[in-house]
Amino acid sequence: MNAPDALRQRDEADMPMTAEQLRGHEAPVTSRLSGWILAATRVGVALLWIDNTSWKQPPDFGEGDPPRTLYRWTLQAVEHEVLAPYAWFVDNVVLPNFTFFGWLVLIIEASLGAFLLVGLATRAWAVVGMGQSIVISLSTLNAPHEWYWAYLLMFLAHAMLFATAAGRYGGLDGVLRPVWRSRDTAVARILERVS
Amino acid sequence: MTPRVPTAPDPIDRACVVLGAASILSVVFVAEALDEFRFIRIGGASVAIAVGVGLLACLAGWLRRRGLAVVAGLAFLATAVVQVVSTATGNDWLSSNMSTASFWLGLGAGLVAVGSTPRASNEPHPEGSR
Repeated sequence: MNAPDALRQRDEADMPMTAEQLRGHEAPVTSRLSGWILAATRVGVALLWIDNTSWKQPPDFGEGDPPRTLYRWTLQAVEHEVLAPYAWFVDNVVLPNFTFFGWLVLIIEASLGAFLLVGLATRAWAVVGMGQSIVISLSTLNAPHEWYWAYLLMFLAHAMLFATAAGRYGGLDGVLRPVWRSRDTAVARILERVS
Repeated sequence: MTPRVPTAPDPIDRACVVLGAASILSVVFVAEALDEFRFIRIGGASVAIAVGVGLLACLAGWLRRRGLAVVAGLAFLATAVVQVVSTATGNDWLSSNMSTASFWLGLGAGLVAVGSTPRASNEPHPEGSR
C-alpha cells in the first residue's frame, strides 16, 4: 500500500495509522497548518543559535582578566560543577586549549543556526543540537540564577525537530529529498537519511 | 513557432527565490529599535551585500538559472568568511557581526545545495530545446 492510500484509508476509517503505514509515509504531519508550525519552530530554534553566535568572538573568545563571554560561561563548569568528570575535562583539557575549543563552539553553533534555518540535513543537525544542549547544560546548570528548564527545553526542542524531520516542511530537505531519492549514490543516500 | 507551454514553478527554483527574499528581508535588522529581537547586526556594507546578493538569488530562481544560484551561494559563503576574519582581526569591515555570518552561511549553503542540483531530464530548459 502506498502512503497516500494509507492516509486516505485512515481518514475514512478515522483510525490511527499502524506502525507499518507510518513507516511508508513520507512524514507524520498531515495538516498544512501543522507543517507550517513545525517550520516556524525550526526557524525559531535556528534563530536561537544565530542570535547567540554574536558573543562567540574570536580570537580570544572572552579569555582574559576579567574573563568574559564564552570563557566566563565555560568556567562555570568548574566553579559550579554539574558532573565531576566533565568539570575535570573542562579544567584540564578545554581551558588550557581554549582558542581551539572557542573556534569549535563557534563553528558548531554558527552551523546549527545556518542549517536549521534553511532546513538542510535537519535531522543530523538536530542531533548535533541535542549534543550541544547537553554540553551547555553541563557547564551552566548549577550556575547562579539559571533556570534548568531552559536547558531541558532546548534539548527537547531539538529532539522534536529530529523526530518530526522538521526540514521537510518549508525547508530544503522537503525540496531536495525527491532528487536524492531518485539517485543511487552514496552521498544521496546519506543526505536522504539525515534529512 | 512552437506555442509556449506554461509549466508549474519548480520547487528548487522557488527555493532560490525564497532564500534571496530572506536575505533582502534581513535588512529589517538594521533597526536598532528591535533591541533584543535584533537577531543579526546589519548596516553599511552588509546592507548592500544582503540586497545585492539576495536579488541575484531571486533572479536565479526567476530565470531558472541554477549556475547563478551557485554564484549567489558562493558569494554569501565568501562574505561570511570575510565577516569572521573581520571579527577575528578586531575590525568591523561590513558593519555586521558573527550572527550575520551564521545567517549568510545558511543562505550560502542552501543556495549552493539547490543550485548544484541537476535539473531532471524531463524538465524543460529555460532556453528551450537545443
